[in-house]
Parts: sequence; structure tokens; C-alpha cells
Amino acid sequence: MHSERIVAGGSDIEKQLDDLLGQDNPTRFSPVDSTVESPSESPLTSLKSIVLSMDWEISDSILKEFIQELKRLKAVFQQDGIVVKSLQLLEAIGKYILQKKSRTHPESISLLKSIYRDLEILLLSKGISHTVRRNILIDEVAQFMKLKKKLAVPARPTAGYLAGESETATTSSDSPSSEPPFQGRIVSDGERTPSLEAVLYAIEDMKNCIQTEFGTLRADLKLSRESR
Amino acid sequence: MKNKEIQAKIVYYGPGRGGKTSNLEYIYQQFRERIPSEIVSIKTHGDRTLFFDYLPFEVGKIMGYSTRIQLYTVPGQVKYDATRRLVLKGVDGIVFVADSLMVQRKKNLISLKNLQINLAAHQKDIFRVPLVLQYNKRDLDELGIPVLSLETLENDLNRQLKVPSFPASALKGDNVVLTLKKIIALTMASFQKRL
Repeated sequence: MHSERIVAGGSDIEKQLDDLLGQDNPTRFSPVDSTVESPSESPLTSLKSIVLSMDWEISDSILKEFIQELKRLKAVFQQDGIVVKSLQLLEAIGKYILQKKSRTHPESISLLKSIYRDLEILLLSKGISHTVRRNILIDEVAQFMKLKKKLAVPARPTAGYLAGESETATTSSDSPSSEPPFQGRIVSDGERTPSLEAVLYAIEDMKNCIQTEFGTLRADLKLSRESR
Repeated sequence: MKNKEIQAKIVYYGPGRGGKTSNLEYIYQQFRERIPSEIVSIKTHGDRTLFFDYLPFEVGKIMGYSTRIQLYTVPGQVKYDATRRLVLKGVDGIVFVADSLMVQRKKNLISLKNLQINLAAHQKDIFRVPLVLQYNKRDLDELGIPVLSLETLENDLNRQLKVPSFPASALKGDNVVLTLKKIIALTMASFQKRL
């Protein structure tokens, strides 16, 4: 799709422009040449580039590229169990984000970046001991399990729905009608204002709750009348 | 394009306070004799571009065509999106002036995304339009002010676009003319391809 991009103006045109506008003054800054790869590239260059691009946009194509690159790295580092495990954690989070899209739990993105930073330490730090590497992995796994636990909170808990944590990565019965419309948003910690959707959902939930309570009361009254 | 004459519209786009107007001011200083009028600039009290800056510029003969370039800037502030969209109408080439300041990283990304959206409103594809990236304010690094590395800027802004990019200092004039020449060359090549 991008093959029609013109990135060079043609030497004849550029020469004419030099004649017309003069040669450039010496500058302190060398032009950036993105086509030349740095010789000191690390094996994580591509992955880092993808992770950095997530600051701008997290699209399906970027996530697929991310997962693909992780698979490549797993093959490269198959002898290093700790690195492979880290890559697996990243892959699991990447697949979860790809699946849930905008309903992704916000902490998953920050965890992804945090594990990536740890991966850089694991792969690029010189003289790092096995114990330190193992501790990094243990910490990563603990963080991952913590998030997984949050995601596993059953949908629509009675008091916790505003926490937006009813989203589960393993939910199989995702009928649209049973899902709150604002899943994945954290609003309970006071840092954010609940969205209109969240407020409307809360009102609807309260209405349902009141109706249920009234139904129960009516049934109790009926029973009590009948017993007299 | 008419009577062996080419008029090209080049727009300097980017986040607010990134240096778009400074680019035009430097060009105006350098090539004053080729510029038939004063730089047209409408600013707010805070010296921010309110509508746009406009600089008509006679380049000379390129490919046998008398070439006249119209340089525009857009207001970078987020609230002036309608103006930005308007200025992009009929654009032939774009210089995206990114701010190298570390604290402006996100604004660069938002502005580039905004450019893509506003180009799409004119049925233009950011991946096809002649485009040059300029990483401005590189001189601040020498003053100890935290700036983004060129690697980060390339990763953030040019990873997918893969267009020519230049570190620059619009205030001091470093690579301003080089950026201009590159976008004119790309725009002319684009015209040539369409002929």
C-alpha cells in the first residue's frame, strides 16, 4: 500500500534546487538516515520499536507484529529459559489485548511495558547473576498473576461494578446483554470520573436492584397475609 | 500547473510552539529578494499563530517550469483543528515539524495522527503525500535541556512512514533550507510522476 511513497526527489531536481537556493551551510546536525541499521543493534531492536510505537497507537496490525516478533525471539533464545518465560508472558498479554481491544484492562498495557523493560535488563545487562535474573522473572510472574486475578473477578459483582474489573480474560459466555458497557475502565480509586455510560449503567443496576427488592417484599407480604 | 508554470502549496504542520513559524521566518530572512511580499501572519496576543502564516516564494525554473511555492503554516494548538483542515485543502507537500523537547513527545504523536485524519478529510493518504519530518529544537540539547533522542523520534514518528527526516534548529537556521529543498524536490517529483 505504501509503495507509491516518493522519498527521493531525483538527483536532477535536487541539483537544480542546489543551484537555485544555494548549497547548505555546514550544520552541526547530521541528517537522519533511517535506512542504515546501526551496527550495534541489539536483538531487541525490532521489539523495542514496536513497544515504543504502542505509545502512539495500539492497532491489530501492531499487536500481530508484536506477537510475531516474540515468536521469533523465543526461537532465538530457546536455550534461555528465563528469557523464554518473559517472552511468553509478553505474548500472553499481547494476545489478551488483541482479543479484548478497547475493553482491555488498562493495567495490562503498563504491565506489558514493565515486562519489556525487564526483558531489556535480562538480555542486555552485562554480568547479571542467575539469582537476579530469576528474581526478575519471579517478580514478573507475580505481577502477571496479580493482573490475571483481577481479570478473573466474576462479572457484575454486587458492589464492585464501578471498579470495572468484571472483565475476564477467560469469560466464555460473553453475551452482549450481560456485559456492563464500560468494562475495563478503572474508576473506583477516585482518580477518574465515571463516564456517562458508567453512571447510566449504575442507575440501571440500582433500578433492577430496587425492583428485585420490591418483588421480594411483595412476596413476603403475600406470604405473611396468607399465613394470617 | 499551467503555461509552463507550477504552483505548489507546501504546509508546515506540527504541534503548537514546535517552530513552524520560525521555519518560515528563517526562509524569509534568507531569500527575501525572491519573496514578493511580507510574510503574512495573523497572531494572537501571546504571539501564537491564530489562522496561518503565508509566504509566497519564487524558486526559479525546475524541470523547465517556472516554480512558485506557497508556504503555509497551521496553528498548532489543538483547538484550531478546523483551521488546520482548511489550510490543508489543495496541499501538495508537507513538512511535519516535530518538537524535540522530551515533554512534547506525546504532542508530536497526537499532531501527526491529527495530520493523518485531516488529510483523509481531503481524500489524501499520509502514506502517499510528499512528506518530510523535521526534528526541531536540537540546539536545546547543547543547553542541557532534555530532548528526545533521534532514535526515539524516528521510532515514534517515522517507523511506519519512512520519509526523509532532518534534525534542525529553526531559530538558528540549521537544516531549515535543507528541509525546504527536500520537500520541494519530493513535491516536484510527485508532479513529474503525475505528468
